[in-house]
Amino acid sequence: MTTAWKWRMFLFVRSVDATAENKAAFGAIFADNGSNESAGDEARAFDAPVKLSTTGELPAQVYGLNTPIKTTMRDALLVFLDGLTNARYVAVANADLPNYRDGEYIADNFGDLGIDPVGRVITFDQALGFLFREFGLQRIPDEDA
Amino acid sequence: MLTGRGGNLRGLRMGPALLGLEKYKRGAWTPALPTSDGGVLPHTWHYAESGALYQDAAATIPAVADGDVIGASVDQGTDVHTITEAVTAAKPTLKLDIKNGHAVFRCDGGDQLNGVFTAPYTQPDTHFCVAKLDPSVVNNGANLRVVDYTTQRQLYGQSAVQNPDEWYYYAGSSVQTGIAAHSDWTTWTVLFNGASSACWFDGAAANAGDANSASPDGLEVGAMEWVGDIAELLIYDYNLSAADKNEVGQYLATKYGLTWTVIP
Repeated sequence: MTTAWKWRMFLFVRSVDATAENKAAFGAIFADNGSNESAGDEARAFDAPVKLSTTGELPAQVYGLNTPIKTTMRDALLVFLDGLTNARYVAVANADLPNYRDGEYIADNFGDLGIDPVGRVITFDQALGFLFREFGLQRIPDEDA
Repeated sequence: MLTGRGGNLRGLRMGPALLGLEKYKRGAWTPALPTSDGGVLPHTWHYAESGALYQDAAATIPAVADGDVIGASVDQGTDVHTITEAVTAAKPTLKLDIKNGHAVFRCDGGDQLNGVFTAPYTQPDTHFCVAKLDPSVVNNGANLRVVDYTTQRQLYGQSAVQNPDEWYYYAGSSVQTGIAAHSDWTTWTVLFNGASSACWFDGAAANAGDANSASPDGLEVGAMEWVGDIAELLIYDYNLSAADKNEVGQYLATKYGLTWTVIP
């Protein structure tokens, strides 16, 4: 049996674009395309994102998400990201798939990653490296208890 | 034979007959179940091959394929504390055939499953967990917890207090184990018991200490920080004898191909 969650996407959007309207639209993409959760719940993905800034300190300028998606969500999500300023993504295989092994690069919208990603396994940490390369963005350490 | 506060009584509440496990009630221990009598199950028990994982938080769509998201894990223990997550981006992923042929919950650092207990556990309580930290985050200067909860917190994982980062456990106070964090598969055994708390890795004793008195009223597996794999988690709401700890540890070691040092 093959999973319906064929892609894993590393998504990066500017914090100013994490508006209530955009969160709702993001949530609806999942809820309307077979996540079997509510749009309101899916919008909470932005409640605890990976945070980035050019200083590595708060306030966050960019939010990062790491999420599996179904093929049915893909086109709507790409349109959503395309409508945002400087949103970036890297898509990798979420399991062993025909022509792709688990974690292997599928697509991105960075333009120039600085490496040839084809045939490589790309991790979320590597995607953060692509952001640093293009925008000088650094991960902000999580607040800790 | 498991004995202890609440153990047998709770076992009777959902005993082996109810679970279709009558054959394990007596006789040789295979070990196909955590303890030789089989009829006394953990109070909380989650594992990736339980047949009770679901893609959605409402537990309607089974998670069975490699790469499926896990939105719910139905507790296989006697207390049936189902743990859930309704945000796709925060759901662990089911990965098949990862350790000794067995499946795991894979967490990316932003994933978790959580649920509230019907009644808080009380110390002493004993945790067993088979987990592996991803090499990319070992000694990265961050606290990374295998389990935790938001209110009455009992947790364990990587602590950034020491350099290099160490394994630690906490129930209101941190106990540094003296064992450097690593990315090898490990069976954690943690006894939360106030000033007499203790921890073993694959059965080998680590630093004991006062972990304080917090008793869990819920459970977060992954705790939205853990980057790596979690294969199995068992919680007993009492202090198991050394013999019982060894039975559970041997069950896990056999299943996942790990070593186990007998706890004296």
